[in-house]
Amino acid sequence: MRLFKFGLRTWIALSSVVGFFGGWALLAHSPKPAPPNPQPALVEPAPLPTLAPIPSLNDPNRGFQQLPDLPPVSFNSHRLRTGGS
Amino acid sequence: MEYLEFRLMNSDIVLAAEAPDAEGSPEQIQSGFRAARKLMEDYERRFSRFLTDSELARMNRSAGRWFCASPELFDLVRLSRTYFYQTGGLFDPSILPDLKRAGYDRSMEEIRIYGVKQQMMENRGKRPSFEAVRLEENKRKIWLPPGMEIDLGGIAKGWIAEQAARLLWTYTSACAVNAGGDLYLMGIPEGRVDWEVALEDPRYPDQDLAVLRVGPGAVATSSITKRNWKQGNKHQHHLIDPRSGEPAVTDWLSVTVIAPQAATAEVFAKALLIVGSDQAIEFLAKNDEIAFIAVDRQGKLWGSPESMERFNANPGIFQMVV
Repeated sequence: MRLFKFGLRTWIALSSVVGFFGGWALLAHSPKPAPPNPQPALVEPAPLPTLAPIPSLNDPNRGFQQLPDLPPVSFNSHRLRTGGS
Repeated sequence: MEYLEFRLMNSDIVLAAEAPDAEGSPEQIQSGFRAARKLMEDYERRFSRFLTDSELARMNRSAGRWFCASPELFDLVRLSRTYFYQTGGLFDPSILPDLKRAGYDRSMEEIRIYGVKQQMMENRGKRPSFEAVRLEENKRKIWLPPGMEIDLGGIAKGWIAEQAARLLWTYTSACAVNAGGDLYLMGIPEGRVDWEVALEDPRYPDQDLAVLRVGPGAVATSSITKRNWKQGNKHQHHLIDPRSGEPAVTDWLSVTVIAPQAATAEVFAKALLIVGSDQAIEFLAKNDEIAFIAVDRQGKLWGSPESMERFNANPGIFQMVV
């Protein structure tokens, strides 16, 4: 039984060491990955949708009407009142 | 025109100034308004009889001793003495004890809220005459006889309006200051030939009777329908007749005067209201720089023969006082 335990530990240790170095050697001889390209790929922007022109405030079809010119604010005499105090 | 309105001296104050032209700065008018308002607030603090720490109150407390006055207070007392003589004593700032006896012992705003504090119907005591006031010009000293108290309410408001208008005029080409119906007008608004001032109906204060067209100078109105109250069963008002010491009995409700100086207009409006229609023309015989309009109890306008021309009024609105 003791011999079996010794053999099992030895086998696990050796297989770990061999697996580690085997993997190392495999990766060391594998092809290198391509370096990242510093130039971003040019993407053609999608064309913006064309909107209908905004109607003018003076457009009679839009429902607004330009207000007539208001007369200038005249002197308000009632702010200057005299009536005693 | 640009306007600033606020309350001061228990009155509505309106400052009006010609708006700046294309090259002018709107801020300039606002600076003028601020300066004029500050001046008026300062004068109210100094000349109010309702503020115990005012210069006027301190002078009244110093009766019987010489009081060193500011140039402005000295000017007002000196002017008061001139008008006292010009009106034959009908303008008398020393009637304050009579005014208090009639119930006007607090500001009108307080009276309207709390009523007359107490009945003060005791007999009129003998009081010193305003003639006894002594002035020492060089040292600006004023001596009131013992027991005298004076009230500048009959002259100071117009005087303050004129001082404020003169200050405001340094910021604009035309301006007006209206202190509760006492106006001082400087310059002429652009595009006009005169100022328009609405004449309030003393019976219905929300309505106007006419629009007066006047040039630069002062317009002041005195009325018995504005500051009034009930004392016991008596209807009292603030216009004391110095001859009786009682609220004046007059057939007119208001008198409006135009004159070169605001104090003149204010003083003579009061004096004319006291004398009424019987003596108005005789009273003004020696004052050709003054024109007036009076309103009677039916709302009819009365004026001197010169008044129609001076007020640029439409023919027909006046009844001549003869």
